[in-house]
Amino acid sequence: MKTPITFISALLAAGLAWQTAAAAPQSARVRVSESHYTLANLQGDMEAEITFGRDVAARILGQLKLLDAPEVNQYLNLVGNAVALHGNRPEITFRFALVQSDTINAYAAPGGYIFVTTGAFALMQDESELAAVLAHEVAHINQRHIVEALHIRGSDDAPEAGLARLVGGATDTARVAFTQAVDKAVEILFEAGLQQADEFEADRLGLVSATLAGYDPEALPRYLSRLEKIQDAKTAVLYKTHPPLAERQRAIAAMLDNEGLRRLPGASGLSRFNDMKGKLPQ
Amino acid sequence: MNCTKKMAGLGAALVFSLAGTAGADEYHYTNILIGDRASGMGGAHTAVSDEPSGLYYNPAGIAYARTSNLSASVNAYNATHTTYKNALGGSRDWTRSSSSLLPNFFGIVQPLGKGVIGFSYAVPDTIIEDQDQVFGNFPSALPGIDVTSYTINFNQNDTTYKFGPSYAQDINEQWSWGMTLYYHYRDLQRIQNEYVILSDGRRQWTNSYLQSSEHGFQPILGLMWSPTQRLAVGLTLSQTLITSSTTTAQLAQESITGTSTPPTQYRTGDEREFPLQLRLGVAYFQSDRLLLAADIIHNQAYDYDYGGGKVKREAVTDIALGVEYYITGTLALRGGFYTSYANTPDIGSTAVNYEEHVDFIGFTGSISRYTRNSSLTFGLGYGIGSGHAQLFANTTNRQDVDSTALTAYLSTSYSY
Repeated sequence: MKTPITFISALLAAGLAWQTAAAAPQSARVRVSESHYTLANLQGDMEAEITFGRDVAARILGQLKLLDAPEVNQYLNLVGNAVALHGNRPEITFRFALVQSDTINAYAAPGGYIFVTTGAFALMQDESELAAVLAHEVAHINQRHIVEALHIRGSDDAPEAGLARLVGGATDTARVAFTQAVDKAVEILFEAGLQQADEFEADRLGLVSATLAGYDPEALPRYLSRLEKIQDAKTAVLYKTHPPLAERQRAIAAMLDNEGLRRLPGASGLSRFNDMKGKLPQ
Repeated sequence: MNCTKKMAGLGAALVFSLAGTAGADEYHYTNILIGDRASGMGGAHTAVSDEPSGLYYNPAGIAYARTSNLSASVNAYNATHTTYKNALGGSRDWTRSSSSLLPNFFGIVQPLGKGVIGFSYAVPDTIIEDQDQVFGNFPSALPGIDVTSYTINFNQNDTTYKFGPSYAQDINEQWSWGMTLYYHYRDLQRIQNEYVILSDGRRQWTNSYLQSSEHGFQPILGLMWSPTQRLAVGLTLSQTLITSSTTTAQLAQESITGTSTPPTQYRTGDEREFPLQLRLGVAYFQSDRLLLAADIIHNQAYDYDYGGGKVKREAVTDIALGVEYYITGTLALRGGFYTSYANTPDIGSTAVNYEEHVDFIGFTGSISRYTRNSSLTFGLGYGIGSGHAQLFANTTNRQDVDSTALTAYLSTSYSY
């Protein structure tokens, strides 16, 4: 008994002492078979992402009613697609819509489905702020944040995979897993939130694409400043699912300074935005 | 087992009095290798364990599983052949064969919160053994009397099942911990019939039956340490704890003197004990194609009271070595070597009533075909054992034993 315990103690002590050494991510464990993709695999992944996103979007619309304002929704699509053009996912057709809710938030379902609450729309003061929020959501989709978090992949139609499913009895399990993944995605959007790093990345990439689309680079921090002043039920979910606004503001400010974006001229689209606000159903 | 010894003791007046026979798992700690990658690598998996078979080898490893959901199953065919040389003298060997086909592993892992949960089922030991032999015209232990005919029919089914949940979590980027709590169930049935006809016309027959079932738990506590990106060290501690056991033995016989014993039952609730097992493994991920792994498995010496006697087991240290190499992105080859030494003392020339002592070494190999979400593996394992046994009680006679064990398995894994 004594020998193993002494040995284990020594091993633990050595391990803890080694803690000061550089971090050791587990990437070396990845085998070549895991990074081996075919074109069919990539095509399957994209189709799975869109199919999955459609289910998640349906769940969102089950909770939040789509606003019956075709002209305003068309406007959202115009602005949203303008910023999405500067992303890296030309294969995705983005769809934008307003949903009825006093809460201030926006939701991005995989596959290109983006929803903005009427509460958030009411807080915006010009088109550049709308573009900044939509660009943030587009970035979540472009970076496949939910898809990666839930490991959504295309089906495997290889004969070996069929045999594996058969022998392993995985068919029903896979169906259950898909439903669970949709539930999990809705939970991420409404309750748990994505990883904080994903939100910072969406801020960063959204800022770039909105700026490239010709909008005011300072629209996002302006919108967030206004948001910071609202501390009630309207923002409770947003605070729960996103990093603290002060931290986001610091990161955005650093990016604006470091990249020299503050000097860039940008459109506000104020008059068109106000026209659209006037067309919202009363 | 000691019920068998009691029966053997009763048989002292017989021409042949058999000693106790081991169950499948009595004397070795590595019987059937578990898992698809692990089996191909000789069971050297304690520092790898980043897929469902890690639930068995080192639950801390599943913290590094890289798919959201993963199931894996292994269906294995096992065949053993054991020869007890000169069991009855004059090159009259006893041979016992076993074959079984059964799913011996299923595991699934899935992220949960900050950790990973899993569930697995494993059959680390099974034997379905038969011996049907007839020997004739050889000298008996009685002066001037030969054995005209000796018939033995032996059948033994002994399987150990383990199933239960696991949980693992990162401690930081270098450490993870994990735990598996297996429910342990063993079912043993053994039937043995002997019929002897002597040259003077006298006869002897013996019928014995043994049934045993036991329930318990096996907690497995694992740690995984990654001091560098390519090196991993795994450590597990485990011990099987029996909570209830029922063993029933029955003997009926008639000796050469004409004395008959009606079916007599012996029953005991004594529980077997198991040693604390320490597995230490090292894995070197040389590249995304080449993996080298080695395990040392140490089982402590221990003893316990059972059926009025003392069971003693010696400390055993086994090793396992494995290599994995991906020829292409979809095809992997594995090879391995392992030892499975007996936990009984060697049988010396003056020993009496010693338990079988057979040491095994084994070689394994497998080939896997990968698709995006699945893998299909075919593997083979071949073990060779040699040692000694004392088939008959109350004598210093010992028999040389040669044994072979072949395992062929088909395993699949599927992630979704």
